[in-house]
Amino acid sequence: MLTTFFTLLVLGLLWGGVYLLMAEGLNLIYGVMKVVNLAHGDFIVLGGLLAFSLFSNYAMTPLVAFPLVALLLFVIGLIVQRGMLERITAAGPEGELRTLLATFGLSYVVSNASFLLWGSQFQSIPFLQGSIQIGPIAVPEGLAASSLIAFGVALLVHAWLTATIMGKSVHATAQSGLGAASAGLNIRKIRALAFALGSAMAGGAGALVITLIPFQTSTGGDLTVQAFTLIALGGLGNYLGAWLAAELLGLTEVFTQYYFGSNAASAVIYVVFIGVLVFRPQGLLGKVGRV
Amino acid sequence: MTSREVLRLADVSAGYSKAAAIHGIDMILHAGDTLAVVGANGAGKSTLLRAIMGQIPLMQGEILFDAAPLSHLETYRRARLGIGYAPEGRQLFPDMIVEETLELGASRETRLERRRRIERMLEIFPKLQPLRRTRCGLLSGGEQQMVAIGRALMGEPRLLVLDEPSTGLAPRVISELYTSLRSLLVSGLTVLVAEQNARAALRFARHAIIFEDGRIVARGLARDLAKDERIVEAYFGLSGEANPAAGRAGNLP
Repeated sequence: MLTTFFTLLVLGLLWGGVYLLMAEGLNLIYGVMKVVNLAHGDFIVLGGLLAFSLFSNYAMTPLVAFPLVALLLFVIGLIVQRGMLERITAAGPEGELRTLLATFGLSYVVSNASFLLWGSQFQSIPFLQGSIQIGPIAVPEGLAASSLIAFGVALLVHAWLTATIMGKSVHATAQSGLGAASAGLNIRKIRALAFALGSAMAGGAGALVITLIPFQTSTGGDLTVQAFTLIALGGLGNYLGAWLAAELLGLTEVFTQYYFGSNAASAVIYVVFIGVLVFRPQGLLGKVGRV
Repeated sequence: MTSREVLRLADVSAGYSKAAAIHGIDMILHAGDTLAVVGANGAGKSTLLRAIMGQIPLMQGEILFDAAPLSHLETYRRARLGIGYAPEGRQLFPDMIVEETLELGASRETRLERRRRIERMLEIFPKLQPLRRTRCGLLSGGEQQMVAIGRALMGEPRLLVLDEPSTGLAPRVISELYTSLRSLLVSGLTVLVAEQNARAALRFARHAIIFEDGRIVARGLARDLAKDERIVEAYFGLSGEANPAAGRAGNLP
């Protein structure tokens, strides 16, 4: 009984890490920069499928593929921001709506391009299938590795955003582009860097998560919604908040699934989400009183 | 005027749509000079400043800073060249604290130098001293304006461009703000300030130009313009300071 409880607890926390991993890129792009990227989930799937190809053609393990795929998605993100989004936001009012529509289109382009390359079947990489025995609890290796990396990334990005001048510039640019430019900050470069980094995090996440959840080219949409939910729950742009929200979601899902079945699990997550938004609309660690 | 020329506008027209909002503007600012651009709401003062900062493209003419044309340089490049800009509406970062906001104004300096300059700003604006760790969104209007000007000064500019610094501030706060600004002039800083509040601006600046419908309709020493009856009538209004409904000078030449 107690063992079951602790097993569920550990599993919940680990799945939380996986959700966090998939939301971290969007937390920078949307949470901090306020750019709606509806192609986020498709970037994750693209990253996963790229890692899948690297694995099946060159037997490259996802841990090696992770930085490679992240780099590739960084370049894709850079191209998308400079070639498309920057031009749209520069076009003035209603920029946000236009960005939303543009990335909605991008989402189709990415998922259909992936479909042409990989077809529609589910793909997965068998990796770290074993488990680590901690006392009476068996911890799946893949889950543990993903969570560890997710947590590491969250800490790094949080430190980067709050403690370095470059990270602060990203925050500043998001809050007032004109203010940042008058302070001598190259806002185009900062926006491009932030979008590219967010895309890289999405791609990297995909390379790891495909070892845990099979991906199909059409999975992207669900992942996008999930990531938006999580960062809204955590308080937009707040990395520690996103981490808390991810753990809350992971625990909720694992426990409900065990006691009430998987249909209940997917519903309960949104009940928790709505509950938090009703009682704490700014998210778990979000700030109130924006000006 | 024997001192070096800092800013020169030659026959500048600019605007957002096809029709220019400012027309054929000529002006020169010398090192250490203070120039007030005074005019009613919508006269084109902000447009002029935005053109200087590269926020809107020129339709005609040329702007030179330190005798070099600014051409199509982006705003941040102009800031790095030495033009400190406190835009209309302050444009602060509401979630960032005062220190961080100031720090970003000198982002390319070393950490030590950034700290030194922050301390200097807190000396210029002592009111900000106890608020250094307060988020900008929580500051009063006057304090926010001080942060905005401080951020512009952090790059140690040779020219400071201020767009409507007194908007929304109480008369006492306005005079405090201008007292702080006056203390900066000793170091030889050149200041260009656009103001609807003609009284405060003309008291602060040595030279002034009066703007109307995107054109310069009068220019000269600020103290002379402040005595000019037509200008007093048009821009000082009857209700005194910061009158947003300040009328137009009508039949000025």
